[in-house]
Amino acid sequence: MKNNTTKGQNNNIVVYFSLLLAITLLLLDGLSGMKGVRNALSFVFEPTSFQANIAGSKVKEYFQTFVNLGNFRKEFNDLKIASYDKEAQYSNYVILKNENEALKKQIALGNREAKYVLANTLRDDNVDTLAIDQGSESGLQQGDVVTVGNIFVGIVSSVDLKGSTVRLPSDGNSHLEVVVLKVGQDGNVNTNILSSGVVSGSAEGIMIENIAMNSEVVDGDMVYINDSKVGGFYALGYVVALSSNPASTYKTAFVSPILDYDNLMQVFVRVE
Amino acid sequence: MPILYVLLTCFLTIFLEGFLVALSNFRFFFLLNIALFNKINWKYLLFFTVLGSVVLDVIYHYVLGTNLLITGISLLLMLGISLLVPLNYNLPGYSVKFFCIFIYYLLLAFVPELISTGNWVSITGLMVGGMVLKALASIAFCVVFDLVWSRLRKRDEGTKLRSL
Repeated sequence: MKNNTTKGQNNNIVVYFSLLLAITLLLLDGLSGMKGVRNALSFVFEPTSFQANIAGSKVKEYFQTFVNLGNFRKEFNDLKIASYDKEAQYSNYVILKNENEALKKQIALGNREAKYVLANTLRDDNVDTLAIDQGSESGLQQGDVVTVGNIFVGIVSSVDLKGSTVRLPSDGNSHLEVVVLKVGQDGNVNTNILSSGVVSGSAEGIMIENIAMNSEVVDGDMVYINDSKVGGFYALGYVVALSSNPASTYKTAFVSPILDYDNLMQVFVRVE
Repeated sequence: MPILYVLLTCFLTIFLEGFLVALSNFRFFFLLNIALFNKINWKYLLFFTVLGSVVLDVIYHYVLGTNLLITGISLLLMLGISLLVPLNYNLPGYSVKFFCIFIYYLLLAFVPELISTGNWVSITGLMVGGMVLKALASIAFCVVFDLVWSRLRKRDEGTKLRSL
């Protein structure tokens, strides 16, 4: 007990001495001699303190993330909403751009004397037909030709008041007379007809038959629709996988369509 | 040899002080002063207090003696109150320490600025709330430190540590 009391009394000396020394140091700090002490202590202890500070700041940053979790969540939701908004605007812009391009194509290459109705394509699970949002109300009839510029898309097979179905060339019931033209080195199509033929839809794709055996048709030649049902020349695609059977009197091939029917957004229906 | 221990403790304290100040503005040096008060030889405690506080003055760019003054005032206050409430390992004892630590943080908020520039710093309610929280955390540390210290003393039969 006595020892404790002595230690307690001695510890009181620490307090008194500290206060005395503190006042002395405060008064002496202005002197140049203390600058040396400062520099020496700074040289020894500053690196330790600096590294500890960096470590502390990093740990604080880590914990700050958890503290700000609510704010982050709110910010994330706001960004999500903003992103949806932008996405909607972008979709609208894409539709307008597509329509604009389709119209440009139609004006530049289409038959200007005929009357066309602009129709938007609708989602359809059937790969051989295309649903559009224009029907008899807009003057569409069964058998009307559907195009984009001078590229053939299909023939209207059924018409409702506000919608129609277009039969694509890949449909099994589609049979059209075509001609095959040569594509030049510069990409221009020669007017010389290499051969005529018939395209019909099949499970493998658009098949072209009845190509004359002695014709000079090769893969990559252009296929144009030349059918009385369609009226006028419309590009369909390119000859691919040309094959000839020596026992047969004609060659067969497939047509790679110019248009990707799945990605069409706007088409033009030629109404009489 | 004990001087070497004190120097090593000083280095460790400076490191922890820097780390905890960056983390949550928590002052470890004064906390250790309070925790070691009446536990080790007064010469070593004095050496540790003076060296540590002067180093912290240099690190924080305070006028030399600022930290020592704040520490001294807070400890003096603790000594004053301990005349009425004994500094035992119980609730009243820790309450005195809590008050003393709170006063330390309060002084720390305006004394360095007052000494270096002569301007008073306005203390907001939020700052006081933070001081209370830090003082509470400090008391928790003191309790743990006292428990560990008493266990160590028992294990070493109070010979080695008592010699410090």
